[in-house]
Amino acid sequence: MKNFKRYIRIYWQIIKANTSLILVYRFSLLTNVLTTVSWAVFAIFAVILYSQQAPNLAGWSRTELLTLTGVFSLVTGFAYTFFLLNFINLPERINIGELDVLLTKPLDSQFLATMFNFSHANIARFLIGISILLFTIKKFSMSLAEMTIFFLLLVAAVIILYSIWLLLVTLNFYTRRLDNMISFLLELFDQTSRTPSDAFRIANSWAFNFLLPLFMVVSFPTKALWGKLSTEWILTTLITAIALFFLSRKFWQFSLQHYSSASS
Amino acid sequence: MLISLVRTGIALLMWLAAGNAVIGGYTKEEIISYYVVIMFAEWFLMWNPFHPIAEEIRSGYILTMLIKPLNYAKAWFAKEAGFKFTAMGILVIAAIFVFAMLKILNLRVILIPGWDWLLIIPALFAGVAISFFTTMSMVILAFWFTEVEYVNFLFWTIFIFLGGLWMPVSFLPGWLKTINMFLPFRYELSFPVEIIFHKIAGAELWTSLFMAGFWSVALLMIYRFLWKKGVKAYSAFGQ
Repeated sequence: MKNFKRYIRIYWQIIKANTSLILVYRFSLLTNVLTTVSWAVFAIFAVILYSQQAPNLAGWSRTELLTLTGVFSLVTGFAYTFFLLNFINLPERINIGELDVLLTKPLDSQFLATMFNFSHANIARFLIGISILLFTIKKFSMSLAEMTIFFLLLVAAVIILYSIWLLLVTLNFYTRRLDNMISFLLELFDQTSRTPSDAFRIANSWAFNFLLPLFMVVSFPTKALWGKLSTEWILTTLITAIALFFLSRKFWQFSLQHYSSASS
Repeated sequence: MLISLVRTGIALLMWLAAGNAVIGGYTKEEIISYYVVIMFAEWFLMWNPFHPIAEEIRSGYILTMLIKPLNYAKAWFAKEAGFKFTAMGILVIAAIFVFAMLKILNLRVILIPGWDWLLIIPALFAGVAISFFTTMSMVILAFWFTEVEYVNFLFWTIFIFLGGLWMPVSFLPGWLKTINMFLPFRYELSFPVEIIFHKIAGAELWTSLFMAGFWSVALLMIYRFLWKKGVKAYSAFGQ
């Protein structure tokens, strides 16, 4: 517990340092926030447009599709705020040996490598997600149990996203120039997560199974919110999150043993 | 190409999952054909060297180009052309993959040739020009700002809708379709594809062709103006 408090205190200092840095480039921050807001406007617009042409997509109504957009915005807003810049910078840090600076600190290497940079602009995306959810949720009544499950699945979603990202980025210890693969997988996540999982199930069950971990990030919490997710899937999502987190942590620790700075 | 494959594949899947016989004037088979064509059209028409140029400006490497007796835009145009040519092999592999997938899923691509296809050639030239000079005009902002990645992101957010990448532009509501007629996005990608599917004819076809020409010239002028101002304002590393 004492150690946990220490890390919270250190993380608060990291956020303060990042805030000081971002305030030097205020115009950049403003454009970033405006871009995020415009992305959200277009995402909502896409749902409205889509549901005008096709009112029912694999059993999902307009309100449910809007909720999906809200959950996507909430999960990615949170994950991008805390981790995005770190995962973008980490391959370069590994490749040029800059990781040494973090490894020499008396702190957990994974904590520093994945939480050293904070993206303020993505807070806007997170807030937009909450706003969309508040707008859509009020149309339906939900029990406390459903809300709790939804919250648990949101936490699991962030952990799954973080773990998959870490697993991929850790591959940079073994081979260089994985940027294209990471961009491809991010695009895959971005596109599949905003599409209801049932659309894939209808099209091709193989595609559905292959992309299952990605559906656990956005589609499953949304379905849980409407009470449409079975207990088996809820448990599978929670277990997957825990398993992926431990797997990614072990892989990180194992890979660190093979890291021999810039000369590697 | 892989990213394009994912994006168009999922957009196609969304519309197919809707189950409607006709959407926005497109039959199910036309929608499948549209997404296959748009994917390859994107590869041919998107001349987008945004990231390497932004990096050249940010790092100061652009100075090595500025002191040479070269036209910067022409040099990058040639580089992009070379890249497109050498990457043809990837395109062939992608085409084999796409058609194999269509065969497995029992889906067909239907293209009906017509005289209006002759107009695809000027539409393609205009598409390339608009794409290239839009990118060049956006990236030149790096002369003034430290971070321009978000400008590109914003452009793509809008372009995906208005350029016909996410769905045919005929799916847009009437008021937006009218506004889109006067914006450059449609002429960058959607316009040649609309001609391929005979979704545009008569006066609208000629007006669109005129607008495509207008935007090609206008964006060239905007680029030239920004380049002149930007080079003057630029101060690289070590100065």
